[in-house]
Amino acid sequence: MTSELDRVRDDYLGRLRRALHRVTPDVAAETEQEIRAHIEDALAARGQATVGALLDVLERLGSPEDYAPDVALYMMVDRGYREWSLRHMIGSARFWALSTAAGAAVVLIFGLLYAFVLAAIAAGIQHVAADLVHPAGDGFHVLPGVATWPLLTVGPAALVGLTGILRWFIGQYVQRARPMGLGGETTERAWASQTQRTILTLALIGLVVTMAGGLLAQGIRFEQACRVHVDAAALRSPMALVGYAGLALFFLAPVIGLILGLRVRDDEAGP
Amino acid sequence: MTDDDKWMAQMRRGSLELCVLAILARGRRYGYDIVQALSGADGFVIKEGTIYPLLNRLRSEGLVDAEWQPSPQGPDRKYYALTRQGEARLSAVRDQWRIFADDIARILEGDA
Repeated sequence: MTSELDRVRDDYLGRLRRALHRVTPDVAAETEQEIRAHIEDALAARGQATVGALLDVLERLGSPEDYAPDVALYMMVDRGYREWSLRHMIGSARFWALSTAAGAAVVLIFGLLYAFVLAAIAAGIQHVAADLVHPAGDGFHVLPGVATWPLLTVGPAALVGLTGILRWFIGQYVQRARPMGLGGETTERAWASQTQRTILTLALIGLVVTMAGGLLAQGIRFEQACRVHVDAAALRSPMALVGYAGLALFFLAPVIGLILGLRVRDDEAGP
Repeated sequence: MTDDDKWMAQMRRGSLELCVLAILARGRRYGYDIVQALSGADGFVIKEGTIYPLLNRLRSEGLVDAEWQPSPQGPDRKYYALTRQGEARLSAVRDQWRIFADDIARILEGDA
């Protein structure tokens, strides 16, 4: 029969498990094991295992929703580094993304941009394949049916607007994903700002490398405004790998930026 | 939370890491043990659970190591110990802290 003491402890550990439901099972289990040991040690130090003593221990521990996600996050990042565990690195990125609506939005936006690039390449490859049968055409319109001049005037403005929105989302993302205990609000703001810059810089480098890789491999050629030629054979060349690496960097910029951000020391981030 | 409490929270957060490193410099310890050592300074740790994100952050920075060991009573404990990098960090920050504290004391006393 479960005692009242066990019930209170299980309720608390149940809340802890729910707060950790997005992290990998091994990290969640280890976090729970450590908190369970803390509770037992605290009860033993009080010399009494009563419900009153347990409630006092849990009150002093604080709400699991407040501290458990940060514990698990650092453990996953740590394992990702120490063991070169891709599973933990991806897990911590997924956790970050799902922990904040803005984070999820950023990953979604980057994911959509990524999907667009992939779709463009796929469309290009399909077009090249069609050329093999009917070798009349030599390119495809990125936005077929859209006149060039409106696209060239409205397009850059839309791009600037989209960049602004993206910057805002990334700002929200890093602001909410910032770790606890950095050493004051000023330092936390500086950390968020630095991490935002890192993400944007990585994304920009990724885009430039993607374009450079594609152009150097002669897999992508801009033949005229809004007209891109994609050569499927060239996209399989070693030089094209540089482009793929850039694409990966672009897509993973929010993740890498945040992981690098966690390595920034307080005194380096602060003013 | 009053303005005084906010001031205290700011000061606490900035110095907690240094205190944890200093405690671990005396030997390896587990989570509750560290909290107990900190409890000597009145109100240093408001919520004990917040010590664990800090310990894991120090670990992810390579300043401390952690290892599970059996406990003479109850479940296994996770022991934390300073790494060489942690010792070097503590040494550097401790010296700076002393200079910083002396400067603050001088300003508060009105000597500066």
